[in-house]
Amino acid sequence: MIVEIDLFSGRPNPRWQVDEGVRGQVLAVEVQLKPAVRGDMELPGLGYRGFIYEDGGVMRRAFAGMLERDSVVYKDPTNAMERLLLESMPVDLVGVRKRVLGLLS
Amino acid sequence: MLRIEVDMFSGRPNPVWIITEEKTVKDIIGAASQTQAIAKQGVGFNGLGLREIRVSTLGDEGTRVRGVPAAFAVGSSAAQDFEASQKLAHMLIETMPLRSEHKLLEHELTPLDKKLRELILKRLDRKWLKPWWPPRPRPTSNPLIDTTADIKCRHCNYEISQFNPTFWNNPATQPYNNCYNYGRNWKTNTFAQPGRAHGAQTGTMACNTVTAAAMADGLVKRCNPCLPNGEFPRRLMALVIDPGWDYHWYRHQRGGFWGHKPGSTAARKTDNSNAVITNPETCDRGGYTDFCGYFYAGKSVVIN
Repeated sequence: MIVEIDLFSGRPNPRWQVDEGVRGQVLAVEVQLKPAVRGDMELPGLGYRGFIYEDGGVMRRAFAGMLERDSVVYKDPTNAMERLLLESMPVDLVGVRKRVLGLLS
Repeated sequence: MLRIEVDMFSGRPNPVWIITEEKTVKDIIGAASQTQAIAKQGVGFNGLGLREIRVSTLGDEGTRVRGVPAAFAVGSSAAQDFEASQKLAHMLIETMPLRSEHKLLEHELTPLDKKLRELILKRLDRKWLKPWWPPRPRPTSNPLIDTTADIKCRHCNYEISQFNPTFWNNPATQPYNNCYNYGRNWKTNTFAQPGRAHGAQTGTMACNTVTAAAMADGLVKRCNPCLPNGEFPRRLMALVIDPGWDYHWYRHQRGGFWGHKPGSTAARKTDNSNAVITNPETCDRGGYTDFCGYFYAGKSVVIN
């Protein structure tokens, strides 16, 4: 599974591949999430806009304690998905990781 | 040293001479730097008759004067300030020797003499009194685009176009074009990077490095110089930097606001506080805290 962090405007966003173990954890987090009452995920223009990944031909975006999948928004009050994907970042993206961790805390 | 060529003949070689006297060279370059009298060579009137006076430096160090390139033209219909351009052309013709001390190949068929100088001056004056080149063809009329005078330098013009997000916000375009594509108004589908088309891309995210990369693509700083009409359509772009991380561009649009496209997200006219952007220097830009400046991008700017 390929994960992208939607962060930049000019430069290409960092992307990396996660193994089957991480993929399993991602899908396990997904099944625990409940639909949000308000169904809109508002993204800022510039700056961190979450993580994007695809599984089974369906795109997802995890951002600001929410997960959007198939036009449905789910609540993720502990940012579990964003933290999991942040942890899966390769070591060469350590600077990006620190920066986004600061935004999540 | 300067090489002067009066571009006026069709069959014979043009009159050419070399100016070596340092004070004269300085006077000419100085006069060229203080006005909008100069133009790119070959972009003005190009029919039969006196077209322009071409000035070229002979060394590889250029003129060493800001705003004055190593080769330029005066007395050109492409100059922003035609009156100043004509005056400078007169000044140059006055330097034409009546017998060249440097024998050039062109002098075999076009020797320099008083008669020739008088002919050039006469034709230059005729051009000044009654411009005799055909009017520049106006760009094809497009209801989505207007030409506007720059409020920072009224003698410079650029084009503003209708905000048209549907062109960018569709699955075939949006993911593959970024802020630089939007600012330049050129869909390359390559997530264009400043300087990449000219081997000058930078990995250092700072005002000076990204500015240099973009200028390698052909962008010029606002008001210095103006872009000639031949560069239609000319865009006004603004560059900001998230220091050490990223860059971002805005484009001035018709209606007085600025449009932009953050990365692969949708093109928009609002900032991070959802306010319409009327000033890219003061709008909410998140972490893009450094404002680097404004640039013109004419039609010859190539990005990739």
